[in-house]
Amino acid sequence: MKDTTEDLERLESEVKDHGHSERDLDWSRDAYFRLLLSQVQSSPAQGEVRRAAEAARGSAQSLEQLHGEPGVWAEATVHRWLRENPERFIRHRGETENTWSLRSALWGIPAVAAGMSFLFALFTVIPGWGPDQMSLGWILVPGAIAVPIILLHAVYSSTLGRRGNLRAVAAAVVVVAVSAVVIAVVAMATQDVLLPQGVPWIWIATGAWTLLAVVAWQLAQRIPGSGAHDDLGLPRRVHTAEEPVDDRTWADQFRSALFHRRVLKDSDVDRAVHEALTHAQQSSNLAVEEFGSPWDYAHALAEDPVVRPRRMTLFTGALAAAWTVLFAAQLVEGLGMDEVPVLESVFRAGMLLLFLGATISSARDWRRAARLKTERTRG
Amino acid sequence: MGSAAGQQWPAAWSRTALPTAILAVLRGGPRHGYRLATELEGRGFGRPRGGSLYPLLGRLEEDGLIASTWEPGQTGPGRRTYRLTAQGTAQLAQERAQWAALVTALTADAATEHDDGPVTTGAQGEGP
Repeated sequence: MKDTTEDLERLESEVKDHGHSERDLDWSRDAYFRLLLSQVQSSPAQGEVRRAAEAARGSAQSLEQLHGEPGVWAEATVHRWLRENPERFIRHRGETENTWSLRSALWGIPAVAAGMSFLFALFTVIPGWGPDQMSLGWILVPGAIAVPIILLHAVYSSTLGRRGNLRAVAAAVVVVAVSAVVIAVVAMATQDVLLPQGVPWIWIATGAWTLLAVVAWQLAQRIPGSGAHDDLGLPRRVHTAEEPVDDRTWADQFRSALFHRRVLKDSDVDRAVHEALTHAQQSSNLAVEEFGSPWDYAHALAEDPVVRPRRMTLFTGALAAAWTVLFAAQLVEGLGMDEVPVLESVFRAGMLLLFLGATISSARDWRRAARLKTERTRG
Repeated sequence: MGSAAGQQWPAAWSRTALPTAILAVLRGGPRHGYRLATELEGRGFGRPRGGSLYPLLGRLEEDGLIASTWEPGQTGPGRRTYRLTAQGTAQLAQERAQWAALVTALTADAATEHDDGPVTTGAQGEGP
């Protein structure tokens, strides 16, 4: 991972070597820091400030005379790049949650509904799985399921960046619980509204959801980007000209970046933030000067090898527990029936075994990682 | 490593030798990050910025050469200190030997060999 403090040193050298005044050096540093705090990558940030300095030299003016206040210049640059050069912003796709904006949810919901509807349609092809007669519920429930799926992802991701993993999981559980109730209400209200037979309703519904997703996507492209959210990416936060360049902003972004990485315990995130701020204070430098871009620094730190396998074990364990309950419920239901739905039983048992196997595998990884970490610490 | 009071090593040397320098400083006992940075500065390596230092400390810890512990503070999360492990001590000894060999190779008089003549050292007719 690149050390972004080297870009600052390069920029300072260049400005000094070309005979700029101390005021210009301060301008350059301030502008550069503001770009970093708007999640611009350090290389393009350094390059743009350098070009601003070159232009000032060429016109024999100071940077402030030519470009105005560094905050105003930086904010304008960020807004321009959000429209024209989004690739200059930080994107750590491998380890960050995609977040949903209103714009992307507009087409995301019908797209997920189309997928669910297609699965429902496949179920109807398997003998004994589909309903005897199609009801309105089968048409609407995919949409009712799609909304909480998007909402769950959005709530988890948004809570994760601000409050950490534990609170994000708690918020997600609340969303799941409330959504389950809503879906049940929709299903119960519509399951008795039967549709005429002989028409492939479920396939028509799948097509309709797909068409809706395509139309919604086209409409979404015509909605101007707000700059505050990017489609399926990190939430973009523009550091405005009025805001100071201070450690609090840097620390908030650093904390959010560490939470989004999901490779440290929540308590270790707080410690990493505290360690960085303490170091910056002792060095009498701003945190952004000492550590560079908060997002790049967050990705440069070593991960705790135990965190990922532990969380995966808990997640797959929860799913295994859920399928255990579903399988047991079916066994109990089947006791009083003449005909036991074999295929459905096999399906539930299969899902249970799948998640049980995944849990055991993750637990082994967890144990191995914990052992390695203990040996490493013992030294 | 010997003392280098007032000496500032070239940046390229400092970057290459920094991991070894960190192990050498920790040989003197556990340190927290900022104190480590100031001691490295005192040894002529410049004070590494936090953005360079802590990721490097993380890599050394992943390699098992150093270990870190959090010391509880009166307020807040406390302070993390870094210490050398047994593996780190062995690695330091090995790297110091390698650096010493490098210095020997650099400071020995150059021996040149030409296709058309014997090996010569320094100016002809003069001793080492």
